[in-house]
This record gives sequence, C-alpha cells and structure tokens, in this order.
Amino acid sequence: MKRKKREEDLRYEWEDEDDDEIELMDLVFILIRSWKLIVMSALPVIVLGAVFAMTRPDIYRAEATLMVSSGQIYSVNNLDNAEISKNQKLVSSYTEIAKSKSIMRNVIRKLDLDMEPEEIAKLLKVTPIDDTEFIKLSYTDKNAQRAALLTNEVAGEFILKIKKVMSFENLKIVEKASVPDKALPKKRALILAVSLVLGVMVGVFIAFMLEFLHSKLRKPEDIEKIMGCSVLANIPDFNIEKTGEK
Amino acid sequence: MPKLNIFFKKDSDNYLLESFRILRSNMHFLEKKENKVIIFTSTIPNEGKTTISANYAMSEAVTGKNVILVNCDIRRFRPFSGLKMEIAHGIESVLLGRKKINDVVIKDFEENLDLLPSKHLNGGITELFLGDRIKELLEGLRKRYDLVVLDTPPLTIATDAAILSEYADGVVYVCGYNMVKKEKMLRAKKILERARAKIYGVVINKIDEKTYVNEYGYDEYKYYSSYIKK
Repeated sequence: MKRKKREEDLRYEWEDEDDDEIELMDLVFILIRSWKLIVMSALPVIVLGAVFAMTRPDIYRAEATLMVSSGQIYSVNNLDNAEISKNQKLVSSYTEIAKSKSIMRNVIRKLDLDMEPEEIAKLLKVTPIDDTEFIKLSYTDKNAQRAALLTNEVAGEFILKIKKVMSFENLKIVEKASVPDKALPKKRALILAVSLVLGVMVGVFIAFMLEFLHSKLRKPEDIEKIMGCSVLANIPDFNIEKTGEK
Repeated sequence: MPKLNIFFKKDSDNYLLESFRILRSNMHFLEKKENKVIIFTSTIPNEGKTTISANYAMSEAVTGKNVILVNCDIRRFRPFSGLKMEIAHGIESVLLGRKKINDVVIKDFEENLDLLPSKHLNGGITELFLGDRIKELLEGLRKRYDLVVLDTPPLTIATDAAILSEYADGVVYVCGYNMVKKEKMLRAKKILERARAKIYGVVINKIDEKTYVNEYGYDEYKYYSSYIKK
C-alpha cells in the first residue's frame, strides 16, 4: 500500500514538472533568435518618427498682459481691500468673455483674415493669474509677426467688449505683445525616443506572435512528448564541420 | 539529390563525429542484442535520414562489426547519387526474383561496411515488402551481418518503414530541426504505432549552429580541437 502511494506521488510530481511552462530563458532565446525581425520591424516606426521630428515647423508664441482695475485714481492712503477683492473676482469672469466668438469675428473682419473664429480660439490661451488682477493673453502661430499682431488685436477687441457689456472701463493693457524672437522647442529628442520604444515594442510583439503561431518542432522536449521516447542524439548542421579539423 | 555522405572515418577528430558516437552509445544501452536489424525513417523528405543512417552504420563498422546498409527507398529515381559505380540492380531485383542477393550486394563499400543499393521501380512498390521474399532476405542478412541498417522513405511519403518494422528490432526516428509540423509527426507516429513498431528513439538533425550552442548547450565543440592537442 505504501509503495503504491509513493509511486503515485512520484508520478504526480513528475507530471507537474512536465507541465507547459514558458521559461524566462525560452523568451530570451526567442528574442535572440528574432533580433533581425525586431530590428526590421522597428526601423519603419523609427524612420517615421525621425521624419516627423525633422519636419516639425517653427511655432511662435506672443504674450500680452492685461489688468482689471477701477477707473478711480489710487493713493496709498485710499487703498480699499473691498475694491481690490472685487477686481480679482472679475478676472475669472473676464477670462470667459475673452474667448467669445464675436471678438474672434471682429478680429477676422478687421485684419481681413481667411480663418474661422474657432481656429483662432483654439490657438488662443487666456490665463488668469491666481490671486492677482492680471490676465495673460497668448497666441501661437507659425508666423512670429502674425502671432504678435493677433494677440494685440484680440486684446483690443476684448477691452471694447468689456466696455459694452459692463458699461465701464476697468480693463487696461499692461504690456503689449511683442514679436517673439525664439520659436517654441520642437521636442525632437523626445519624439525620437518615443518612436524608438514604440518600434521595439512592435518588433517584439510581432516576434512573439510568429513564435507562438510557429508549428514546426524545435525543442527536444516537444519531440520526446509526441513520439513517446527519448532523444538519442542531437546532430548539428554539417556547416559546423568547417570549424573543426578533418 | 540525396548524396551518400559518409564522413565518419576512423582517424577523424571532428567534434561533429561525437554526435554519432553518442548515438552509437545510446543504441548500445537501449538494447544489448546481437545481429540487430534497425530501421531509420523520418516524417518528410530532406530531414537527413540517409546521412544519419549511413554514418551510424559507419560508426558501428569502425568498431569492427560487420555492417550492411540497405537502401529500401525504391521510390527515388536516383538513390545514392554519390556512388562511383553504376547501379544496375538493387534490392528490387532480389525481391522480384530476378537476381540473387550475392550478385547485388556491393562488398566493402567502406571497411567492414557493405551496401545493398536500390534502383528506381515503377508501380507496385509497397507489395514488394509484403511478400515472403523480404522476410527471407532480411533473415538472411541478419544471420550474415552483425548489424543491418535499413534506410526507408519518409512516413508521409510511404509506409514502408511500418511494414518493414515487423522484421526489424526497432526504429530510429530522424527529425529535422525546425522542419516538421507537430500534426505531421503525430500522424507518422500513429502509423508506426498501428504497425506495433518498437521506436528506439529520436535523432534531431540539422540543428543550426547558434541554436546548437546556445539553446542545446553544446558549446564544447569550440574547445574540442585544442583539448585533443593538449
């Protein structure tokens, strides 16, 4: 009785060891064997990334700063906390008005541009500066001069709009947009790095797919399992004979 | 064309030959028996079965055994194209009753190695191996030689190996590395099982160099020459 149990236990353990486990070394060998395929798959992706990085155009950003203030003349003794607090709250409201379509339409008409209001709104950025009375207007364009011009025109139309809506003048230009001299960074290195990683991932994925779809036998364990007997010898390809002596 | 490529020589120190020595040793361990008849077969053509069987036969002949290599592959138009002499008759003539075995066997093809060739034959090939003549032929060879090696066609081409296994001690199965589909090998195994053939084992052939070194772990061959010299 005990002997039978022991034999059964041994068989059970042996069968466990024979389960289909993908070992780490098998995966490494798949990669080693498929390195040419991985390189060839990665190259198109990397080339596309490189072309994209090289052909990115220069883009310029122009900035203008506006301020919400009352029409009164301030003096040091006359500073009113309530007044300042009210102005800071107006900044948030004004930020929404800045992007209205009527402003964009007026700018387009004035400068005779062949653009849609939505196009300008996309490239326009209106940023309230927290806990201050300042609003920043910025516009990005491929043309540096046009970027500055549009920023200033939007600022002007913005002030007129506020004048109509609020019936008083409390918005002023602190600093006009000047023509930017430097383009925004193109991030070429980042694009190349990302395309390299993506390319290698595509290559590795294809290699593993081909490997697992591969139906021709390679491993001695698989062959032994199918035939139900052991491997008597492993004979290398005869080209190896060149490395030896005759 | 399948070429009879025997490179197992007595004085060679090529590491490749170690593979055949391993095969020879394993065959000894499997069954210690005198006057063996062994069949070599494979799944598909070009797996290297003829080269394996020929060099295995040669590796046994080198030890002093009296060996005969029988080419049972009658379906090929020109078997063993590497032979220098012209083959006029082969095993098919013996089985058809036209010739006697002594007139067809090539004596001393190599030292201690005789060769029974075959010639192309049209139609009715399988029936040759189903008659009484093949039985008499193989029993006669068994008595006369220490080892009889039968080189048979691939099992997906013809079932001759299964038919002949009735008169043989065992079958050695040659498998080309990265050449055979799993389904084909399973089908071939079933053919042998139905014939109740005894499968000695598998020889994996044509393993490419990188795989042989990295995955199979046979990197000793690089040091084989220097080791022998020292």
